[in-house]
Amino acid sequence: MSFSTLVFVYIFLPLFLILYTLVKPGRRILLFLFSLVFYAWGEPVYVILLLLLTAFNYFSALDLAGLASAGRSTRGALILNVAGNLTVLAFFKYVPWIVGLLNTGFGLGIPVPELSLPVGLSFIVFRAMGYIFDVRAGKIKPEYDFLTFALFLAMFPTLSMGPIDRYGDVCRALRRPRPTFRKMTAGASLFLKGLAKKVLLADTIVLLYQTMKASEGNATVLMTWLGMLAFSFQLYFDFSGYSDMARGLGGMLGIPVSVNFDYPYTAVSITDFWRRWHISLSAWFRDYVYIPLGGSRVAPARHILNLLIVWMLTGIWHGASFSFILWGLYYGILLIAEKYLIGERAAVFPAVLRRLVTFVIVLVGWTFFQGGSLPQTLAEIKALFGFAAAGFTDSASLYALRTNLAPLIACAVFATPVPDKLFTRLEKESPALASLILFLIFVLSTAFMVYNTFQPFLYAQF
Amino acid sequence: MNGHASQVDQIEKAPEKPSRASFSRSWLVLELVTLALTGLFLYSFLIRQQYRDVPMETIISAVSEGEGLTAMINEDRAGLRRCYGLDAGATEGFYFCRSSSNMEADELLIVKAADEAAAKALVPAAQARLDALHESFDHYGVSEVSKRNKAILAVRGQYLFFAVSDSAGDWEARFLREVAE
Repeated sequence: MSFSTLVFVYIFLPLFLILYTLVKPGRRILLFLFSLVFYAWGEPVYVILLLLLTAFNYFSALDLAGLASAGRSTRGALILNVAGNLTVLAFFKYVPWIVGLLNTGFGLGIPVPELSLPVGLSFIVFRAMGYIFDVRAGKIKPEYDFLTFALFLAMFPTLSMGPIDRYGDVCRALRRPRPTFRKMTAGASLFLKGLAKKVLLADTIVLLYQTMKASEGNATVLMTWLGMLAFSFQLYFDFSGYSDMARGLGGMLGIPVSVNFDYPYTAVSITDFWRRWHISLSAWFRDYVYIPLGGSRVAPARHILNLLIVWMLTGIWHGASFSFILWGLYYGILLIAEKYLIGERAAVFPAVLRRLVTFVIVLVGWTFFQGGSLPQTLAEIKALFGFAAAGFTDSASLYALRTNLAPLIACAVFATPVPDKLFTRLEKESPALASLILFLIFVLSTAFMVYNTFQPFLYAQF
Repeated sequence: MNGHASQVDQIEKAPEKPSRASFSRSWLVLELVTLALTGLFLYSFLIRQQYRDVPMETIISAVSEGEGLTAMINEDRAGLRRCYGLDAGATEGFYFCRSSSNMEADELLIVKAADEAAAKALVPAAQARLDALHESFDHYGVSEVSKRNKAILAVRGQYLFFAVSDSAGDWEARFLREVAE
């Protein structure tokens, strides 16, 4: 099930919230059961996988803690856990790709399994592995209450697209959620803002991106820029909209969900961008891969290798294709350049210029991220830099610019913190007016959900 | 009040019981059992029916020879959007045709999606269309309503197959001959 559907907004969520408010003692069981229904909505069979993964990691942590308390080595238990989790992830996400590569490379005829990736599998597996790493490091104690642990992995607000929360940050709230009226209203407000980002902005600007893709291979320089600008905004409002909705839902339930985006398109450098974009994933790789590899406290050559490893893995996490690997390495190289070549020298330039340059670099990076073939991606990069076979512009590109100027400006404005700051001030100074605006946003979002073609969340495929 | 406080303390401290963390490999046994069950679950995916990635043109040329299809109207992207609310640009190809007569409910839609999950995401649109057809012919088109019972709505690999007709079975057989491994 998706947050941006009428079934979720008008049936699932109200029904759940009514029952959640009424049945205080069985609140956590209710949340778990509703989460299973949420997950089963599109693909019921994967609920079995979710339960098996939950049980596997639950037992694994207890075994690991038992070994540690007995003074025995936990390395074998850790390897077993990581191998188990990664095998499941690889089976659905990477096996068809690898088999396809083997068939192409060696002329083999291995049947390529048709597997649909269970929604949110990468997020679930990474959340589970983070928990295991923390238990092994002694940062947290293993959870004995199965329901609490199951909620950590499977509660519906964070089930399909994260964030990749840490167990230590949420365990108290999961054991005893404390929803209050204040949290409920603040959560509802955040949920509506997220819904508007997804339905009003992401799902509107995607039409411009689709126009560019429809003229594939024949897009002008202007059309390619417009298309990639639209894709950049779609991706941001789609994923950050989901994250806001997840936080809003968590707030309503009395369970905190971490912030995953901090206006990334206002970043002044690539390093800054990755502190603001998909924060929970960056933090996961930093804490569980980069730092164990030695981080930056090693010789420069080793540090460069560490960065490349981490960013290649980040790329692979997003999908099984060379485009994603290249996308990861693109950022690895940029971060190395920022660290060793540019350093503090960029600070002499005005912040506006640094923001603009960072945004353009990120936009170029998204060409790899679309999941297209390498020749397609390279053709688009060439077009972005003025080498489009169709020329600089044509009447269709100018028409696309004219008709999409308003949505593009709206996206550019809402990608900055200004509207949020203004709205926060309005909520303090005139709560009634703020509530009215939220109500109108809700009505408008409903109209868009009814009349527009359903667009699934982009990150749900990861 | 004190009772409540002690209950709260119990909840907070429950996971830290040292006695339960004593060394025992029984957790390992349970872990291995769940791992084995997970392995069986994954294996079941490998042995189930597989479907090929076939160009849409191949499927169309095979299916369009089916019973009664030649007399039906081929719908375009606008038709797909009007009847199903689907954006053709978001698919890998489609074949949509329906009866030339407004008095007949016969319809066939085959959509090729990016993958199985994407194909499954199209099911609600087809289901809504089936309900709409039923509503349109209810009360005055008994023979047409009966076609609803013979309707086929299925996801086969990355394809959505939806047919409402007495010949739905024939159309599906032609479709499966092309895509089933």
